[in-house]
Amino acid sequence: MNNLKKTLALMAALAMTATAFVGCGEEESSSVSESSSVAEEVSEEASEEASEEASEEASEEASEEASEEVSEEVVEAEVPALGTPDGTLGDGGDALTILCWTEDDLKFMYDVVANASGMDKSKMVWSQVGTAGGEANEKYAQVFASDDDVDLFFCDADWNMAYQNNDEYSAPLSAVGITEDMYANAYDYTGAMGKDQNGGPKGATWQVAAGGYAYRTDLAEQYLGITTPEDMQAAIGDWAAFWETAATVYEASEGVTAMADSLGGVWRAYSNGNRTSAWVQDGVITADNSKACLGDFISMAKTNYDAGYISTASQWTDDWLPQGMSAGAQANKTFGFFFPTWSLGAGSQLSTAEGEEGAEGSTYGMYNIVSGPTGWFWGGTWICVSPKTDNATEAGQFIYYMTVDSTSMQAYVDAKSDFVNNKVVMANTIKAGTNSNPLLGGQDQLAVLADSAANIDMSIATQYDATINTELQNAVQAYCEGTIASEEDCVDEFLNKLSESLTDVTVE
Amino acid sequence: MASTAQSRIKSISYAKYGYMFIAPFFIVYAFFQIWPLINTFILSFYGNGDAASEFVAIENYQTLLFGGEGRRERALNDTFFQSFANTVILWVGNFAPQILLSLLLAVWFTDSKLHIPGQGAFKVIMYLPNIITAVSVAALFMRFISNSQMSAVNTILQSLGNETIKFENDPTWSRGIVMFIQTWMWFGNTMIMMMSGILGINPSLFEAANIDGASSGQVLRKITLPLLKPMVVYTLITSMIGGLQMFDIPFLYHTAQGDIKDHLRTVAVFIYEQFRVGNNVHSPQYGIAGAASIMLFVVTAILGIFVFRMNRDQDEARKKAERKALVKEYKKQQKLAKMGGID
Repeated sequence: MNNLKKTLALMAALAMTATAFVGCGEEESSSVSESSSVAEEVSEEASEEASEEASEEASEEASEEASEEVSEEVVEAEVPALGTPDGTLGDGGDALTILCWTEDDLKFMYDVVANASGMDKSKMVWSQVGTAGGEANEKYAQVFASDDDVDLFFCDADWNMAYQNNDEYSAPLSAVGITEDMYANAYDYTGAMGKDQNGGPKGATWQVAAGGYAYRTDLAEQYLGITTPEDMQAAIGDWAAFWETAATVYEASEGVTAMADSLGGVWRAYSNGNRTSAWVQDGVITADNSKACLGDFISMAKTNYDAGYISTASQWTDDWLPQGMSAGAQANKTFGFFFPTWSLGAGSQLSTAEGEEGAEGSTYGMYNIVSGPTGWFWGGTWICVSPKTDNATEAGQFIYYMTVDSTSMQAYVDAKSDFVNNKVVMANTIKAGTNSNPLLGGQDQLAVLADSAANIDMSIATQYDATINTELQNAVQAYCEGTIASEEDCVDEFLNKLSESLTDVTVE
Repeated sequence: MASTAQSRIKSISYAKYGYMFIAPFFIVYAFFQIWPLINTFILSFYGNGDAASEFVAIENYQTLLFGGEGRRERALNDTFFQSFANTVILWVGNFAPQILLSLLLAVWFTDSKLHIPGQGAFKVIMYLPNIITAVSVAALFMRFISNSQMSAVNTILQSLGNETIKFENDPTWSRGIVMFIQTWMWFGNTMIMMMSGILGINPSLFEAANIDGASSGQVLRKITLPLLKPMVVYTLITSMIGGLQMFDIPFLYHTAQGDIKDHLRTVAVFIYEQFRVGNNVHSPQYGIAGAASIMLFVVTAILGIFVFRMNRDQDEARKKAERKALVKEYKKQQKLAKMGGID
């Protein structure tokens, strides 16, 4: 009896001890155990939120008209077949495991890769890490530190450099048989962005995230008398014209409708379309350089915000997307949104902004897209190889069929109508005219954004851009809302916050 | 004459089983609580970001307390002091109304003359906000009154044809809202404390006062409050420790992503931000976060001791001191006697 009591007491004590470890568990969900309907919902949200932290880089001014057809024949360059792994990485493991936060994309990719390579689909599993890009960024390090199997992982343009520049986290693509000359048909900037600080390719992307301006066709007709995207593009061809049109819209709508959906949207377009200087140079942000990077953005933002041409809603808040509907508290508050390619598909930001088809205030299909006041881009996801992989062959195949092979990439476009990183595939798709987006009233967004895509230049991107974007938007928002008194204070506040969070960059 | 069996039994110590049973807890506690505490202290002397393994002595403390030449040092210094000021303002602003409200309610609920009906229900309802997690409370208030155009207050303003207000941007509004939330969440808890304190007072004192014809105001001032002092001090100390570490509501009360307002940033929020800065996960500033934590700890300890000393029973303290002096004197004499004995 005594022994029984002792044993019970010991067990109770052990159980109490064990509860202390409860917090140490892992939080990832895995593809194996997930029910698909829930998974889909989660991932839709995920891809939406992932973009929240999406990147900021720069491209040259691209003021080509959207109406300009991509008519010239794109010559397909010969690309070499997939090589074999060089033996530095493990091979022959059980399953190809991919870390991501966008399992919605993954479902399509598995079909595409399995069909193209003949790989057994059951050999591929994904692991959903967090529901947003920023969360994935934080949690990847934990996954890498554990002994869990990781073969490939997805990185947002915001922070892929931080992983690519670290040999502990990423292996060179050459180790899985991928070489640079395979990307002859790819958009140039994607290759540059996938290299580490020594110039070795470390990441590859299937995506090109060109941005445009999606506007309400019914409001355009009502306020501006414009019925075609060509006329719309002509009316907002550069920033001056854009704000002029904004004034017309504002007056015609009696102060209800703002031209731009949010300050964040204007900043993305400006930063990735008009900025010509990298924020951080030789580990320093100088006063002159920050001035050059900012250009006239702050005064432009303040003037137009005060005038009511920029909506007061912030991106990624509950106020933001409902502005795109024609009923409700936020009805008609914006004329259009600055959206990249990944915001235009089913279940994305545009479909939230429009509301469900037939619902009250729904603007389903009442949008068109034009390239807007500047050619710009926003984000993108790169695939990197983990040095701990035990499936080098399959990892190479996955990257090859998602980012190199024209046939399988075409299949992905047809399935997902994403803008893929292959000029030939895009040219063919646009020429064939097979892509028709019901959210845009049947318009083909790929054709409109092709020019912007061709002009994307990420050479001035730095791994600090995510932090810089956040702090700048907060400071400018505060200045516009009147909590910061002057433009000088606004820049000062922005640089102060930056200097606090960047440890390895000197802010002058 | 005890048998050998008896003496053997005497020598068995059951204490060791006790130690064995409590050992798991203390091992886990040492590993997961004490060690992190010590490690925080050690980390506060090391660098930030990529230089996390570099020993920098008191540089982090210098930066936070005195600033320095560079923009980074000045900015951190400003933010740190601003966050301290915020913490104090937010704590005072929620403690003052909270203790007054709790006292009033506690006096009413315990007054035998009033006989408030449905007391139990009132107590439960007033305690309820404390049961809801801070995250839910924050979410609730974000929907109710915030920057969002769709928050209840802004919707009403809009439907009345007024301009919407960005409640988070205005220091008075946002601090007021945070203070209100904190008060609303904690007054029920404090009220229960006060009630237990009042019920602990000898009822014969109240009866005697009644017989002597004291008014309820006199009873409150001459009996309840003086005898409730230890409980008020206890509440003050616990609330102050909690208040200096205030984190959840100020951290959660913002609409736009990562847009924590300068006038709501408490020290705990500052520490968290330095420890893990949103997008900047690859260079956490352990040194700065550690130094700020240690300073918060020191300030809390000093304030705690100060309040405790200020409010302890004066008579009790004097008696204790006298007792100590007596014991000392006695020991001295004993020693003298002993020495005398040796001689």
